[in-house]
Amino acid sequence: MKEVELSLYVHTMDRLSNKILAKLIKYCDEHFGERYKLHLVDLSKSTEQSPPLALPALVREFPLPRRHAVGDFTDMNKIMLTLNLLTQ
Amino acid sequence: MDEIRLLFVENNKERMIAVNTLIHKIETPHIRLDWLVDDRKALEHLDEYRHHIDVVLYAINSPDKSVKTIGDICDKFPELALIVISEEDEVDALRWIELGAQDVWHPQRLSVDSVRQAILFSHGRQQKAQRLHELAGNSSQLEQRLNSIIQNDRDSLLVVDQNGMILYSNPMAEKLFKRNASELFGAVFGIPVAGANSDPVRVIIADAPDKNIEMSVTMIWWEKQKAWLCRLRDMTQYHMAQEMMKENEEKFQAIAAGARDAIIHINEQQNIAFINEAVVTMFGGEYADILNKPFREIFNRQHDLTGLVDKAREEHRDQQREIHLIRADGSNLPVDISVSVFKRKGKRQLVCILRDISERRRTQFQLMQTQTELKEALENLKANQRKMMQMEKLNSVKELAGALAHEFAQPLQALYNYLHLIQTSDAHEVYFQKSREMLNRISDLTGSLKNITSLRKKDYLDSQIIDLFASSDPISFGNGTRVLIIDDEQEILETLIDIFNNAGYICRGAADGQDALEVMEMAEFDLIISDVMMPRMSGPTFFRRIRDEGYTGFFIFLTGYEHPDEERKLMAQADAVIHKPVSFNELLSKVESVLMKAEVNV
Repeated sequence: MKEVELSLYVHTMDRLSNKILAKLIKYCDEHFGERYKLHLVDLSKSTEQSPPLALPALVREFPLPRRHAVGDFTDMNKIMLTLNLLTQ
Repeated sequence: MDEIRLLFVENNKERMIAVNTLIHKIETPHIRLDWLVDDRKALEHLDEYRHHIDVVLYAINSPDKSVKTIGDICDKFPELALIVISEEDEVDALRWIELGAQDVWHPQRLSVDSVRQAILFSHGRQQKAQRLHELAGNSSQLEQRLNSIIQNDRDSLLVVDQNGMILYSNPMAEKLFKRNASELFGAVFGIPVAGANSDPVRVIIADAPDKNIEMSVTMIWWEKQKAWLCRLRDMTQYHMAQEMMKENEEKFQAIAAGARDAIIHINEQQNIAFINEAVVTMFGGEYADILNKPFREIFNRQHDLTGLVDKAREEHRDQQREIHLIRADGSNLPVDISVSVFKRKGKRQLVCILRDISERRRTQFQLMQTQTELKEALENLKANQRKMMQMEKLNSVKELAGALAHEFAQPLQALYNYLHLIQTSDAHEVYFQKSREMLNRISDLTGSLKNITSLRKKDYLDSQIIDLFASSDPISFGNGTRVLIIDDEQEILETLIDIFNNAGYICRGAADGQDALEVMEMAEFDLIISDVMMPRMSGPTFFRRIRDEGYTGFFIFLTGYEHPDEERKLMAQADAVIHKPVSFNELLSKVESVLMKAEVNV
């Protein structure tokens, strides 16, 4: 079990989604090293039972409790602060 | 507070008097007391005069009956303060408070002060309660209004708690998420992450991915907790409109950039709102130096242009004209200008379109020049034609004159010859008669000449007419020299033959070259005098012919005209060329000199 487990929900893998994903991976590599796991959920291809209402959404699966952020992905620090994952 | 109006409901007269006595002792506030005995009447009175009563003082007679009356008063007239007078103990009396009474008095424990205080207290508390009640009414009104605004908002509104759960959704949000409010309540929306400076951010709604949604987030208090108010606005139409506008703008820009005419848009502040590249080309300067600057300041030198723009603005009418712009080097540039006035967002704006017509002008000028040149050429042509026609006319006059001269020359020469013969021969009568005939003929010719009015060249004619008065004494020479005279004019030939015979020559005549050849076959001649222009064979042809055939005698040409070079060369080979007009003496002396020359040469 990794220390941090995240799920990124996107509507489809368009240019914007790719950009967010790249940003997210870069941030996680820098801050969590190998201690994280990232799931990518492309809703256009997956059969998710209860997908998020609004996208893009980043869900902290672990540590529990599950935390869910939606909205602006331009500032990774802000997202991580929302998910209580901001490292020093 | 001036007065408190009190209704006392009491069927015990003694108690009524006791309370009344106490109340009357109260100085301030002034209390006006109405007394009623019956509960039913009391309720009827309250119904009628509720606005004229502040406090109801109710004495309990039978508790069971009173419960109903007190309940009715509290329900129907909540704005009135109710004080109950009861002989029960304090604990039992509390039930009247619970029913809605403000206070409970015990009839044995009443004093002026306590009654006064109780009345004031009850009245004051009731007034406060009334105010609170009104406030509550207002607040519910306000809530209704706010609720109506939220319910009817065109944006989708969500209240989300700190864990991302939906606490509230308006009807628009239900539509957007395609779920009803109960389904949305408690559903996870996620913690909204707003953009920097709370700018709206684009989100995709999973159930409506085609819509272009912008989310803006505000922190609010919701049920004593911090929460986020998420406003989700559907921007699909807006973005579509914007894209269309952008596209239109791009099209317009492309058209304006490609246009050869200069386009200037002047806004209501008389600043230059738009120019195309043609303006920069026409006026020089930099694009950025012209844009958004005051029109008058930029085009202060172009008086024609600013004048026309002012006129269009004042008259509020389109203008069209041809004006001159002043170029940077001071020269003039002719342009066609049209100023259009229009209203945009209620404000008067202008658009000037300028077309450089210098090229057109140049072409026009060239065309005009060409036209002038053509006109001149045409006039020259006409003048030349006139000249040619005049020359032709002159030529024809010359020809006519020549012909006339010829006509006159014959009879005149003949007449001259006859006159000579009259002087020199014996047959005067014959020659006199012939001279008269000739004169008649000349007279006829003169008569016919009068009809030709256009004849102008008299001088020319005169020069051709042989001078009749140039005659002198006749010369006798000849010595039997054989002479052949050739002339197609019968009279001249005859007179010449007569003259030469008379002068001692042996003379014969021929009508033309051909005739002369025949004559020469039969006789030999020492001298031949020949006219030049003759029918059948001309003088020069005859001359060459006989030379070729071996004629070695003398040959003299007698002519009245200029001849072509070829003939002249041939004539020069003859012994002499005698030009008419010539007098007979001259002719004879010339012939004599030719013969003498030959003798000298021999």
